[in-house]
Amino acid sequence: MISFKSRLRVIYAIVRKELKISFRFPKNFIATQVMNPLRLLVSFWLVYKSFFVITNNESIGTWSRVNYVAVLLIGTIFYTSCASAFYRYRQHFINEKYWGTIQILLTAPVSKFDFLTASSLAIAAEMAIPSVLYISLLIFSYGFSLATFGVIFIVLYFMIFAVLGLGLIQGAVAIANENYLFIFDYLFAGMICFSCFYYSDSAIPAIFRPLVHINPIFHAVEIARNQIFHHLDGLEVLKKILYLAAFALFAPLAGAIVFRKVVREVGVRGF
Amino acid sequence: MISVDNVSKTFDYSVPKTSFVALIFPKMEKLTAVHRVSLKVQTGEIYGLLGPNGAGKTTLIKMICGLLKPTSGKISIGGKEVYSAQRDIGIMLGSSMIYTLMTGRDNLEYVASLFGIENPRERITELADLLQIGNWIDRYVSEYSLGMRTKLCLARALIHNPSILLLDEPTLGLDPAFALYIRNQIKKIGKTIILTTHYMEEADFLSDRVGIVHHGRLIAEGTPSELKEKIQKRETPSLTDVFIELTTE
Repeated sequence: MISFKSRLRVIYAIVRKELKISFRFPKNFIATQVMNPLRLLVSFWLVYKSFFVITNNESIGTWSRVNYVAVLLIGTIFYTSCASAFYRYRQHFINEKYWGTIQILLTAPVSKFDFLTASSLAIAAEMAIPSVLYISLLIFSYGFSLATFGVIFIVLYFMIFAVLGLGLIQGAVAIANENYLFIFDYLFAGMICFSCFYYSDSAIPAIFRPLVHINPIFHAVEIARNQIFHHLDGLEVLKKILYLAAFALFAPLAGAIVFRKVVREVGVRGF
Repeated sequence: MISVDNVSKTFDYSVPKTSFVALIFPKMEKLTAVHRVSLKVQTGEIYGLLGPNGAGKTTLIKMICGLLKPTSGKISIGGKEVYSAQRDIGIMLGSSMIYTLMTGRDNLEYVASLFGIENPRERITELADLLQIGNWIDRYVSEYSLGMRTKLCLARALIHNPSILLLDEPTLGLDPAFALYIRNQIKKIGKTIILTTHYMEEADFLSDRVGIVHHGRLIAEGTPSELKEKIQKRETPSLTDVFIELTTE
């Protein structure tokens, strides 16, 4: 039986290794992490700004000239984190496969669950750079409290762990058969569409709106937006947080089970 | 003891594309890389696995260390299932299994942590001295030559002091003097070893027994002297003569 201390040591070693690889070229890594959200933010800012200028309207629903940049900023933080979490394992496993290093993990006496815990922690740590930066920007620009920072940060990380679970299933498929990865690209497109990062759920046709409301990512974005709009009551926020927390807990577990099964039954193919 | 009992491995592979339709819907065929191989390696024995390129040697090694699951047959290590014996095995698969984006020391520390070695610094220094990579250990692996990478891979395989070593071409890219030094180290290391090599003099010098694999089948097995005795061509046949005689079609 491996002691808890030994498991922690293994998890620490994997996190350290992951971060060392990511920070091999630190300037490039940090600049990319900072730039990714900015690219999207600028595009959507131009669209909404043009709308307000051309139509001379003060608001679209709850989105107004005063708050739309903050709303877009929240959408951007959540979208980029969601995309990174969804694709990180896929990229990670494909790299490891072609570097010829995935064998290290597969031949070491390491629990797959410990490995996945460590990888998720490393990914979460990498994502902290843009998250903290942009949430801080939001706080300073709009005078939000530290409590608001805490709520957005917690909800963001619940969402990241929920999406990492899905990303892990994709990562397992990347190990076994890269031919079917396109399915996940389509799935991601749908998921993004029904997450309403850059628009209100009322923009989705009523027939598809139930898909928005079962999507935990949408609820994460909604809780964050509530810090600006204050359109949800306390009980509603609590319900959404619990719903999201359930996904944050079970999606990685489901991903870990699928990963373990794929590696054992199908094996690593294409290296 | 390593026991390989009637093991086969079949891969599905896509036939090279000749038309647009085949590009989208590739035709899959089966390739038997290892066919009903049985062998036993006793504790402390050095077993040389020889064969032409693509004969199935590396596939067999990968199955023994648990990287590939056999299609049929059974492999056990010291009476245990492969996955339960991973802590006892050190693996070197050519110059792979090292992160080129990290330094040599980072690579060794990482593997040492995975195998639960509490204070790996002493062990890393010991191996760096043994394999003469001390001057390079704190440099990025991407700056290493092939020979340096081979040395690092060997250090990686030895870091947790395993009782079993699976070495796939352990002297690849090494200069002759250092290759000889490594052979001497392997000879006196006192572990159970399966090694593959294309250097016949290496197999002859190191191996207590040799198995020759061809088209996925174990076609000959014995001590180097026993195998040489089977060849009548010359008065003093070498292992190279045995290899050519058995594998040339």
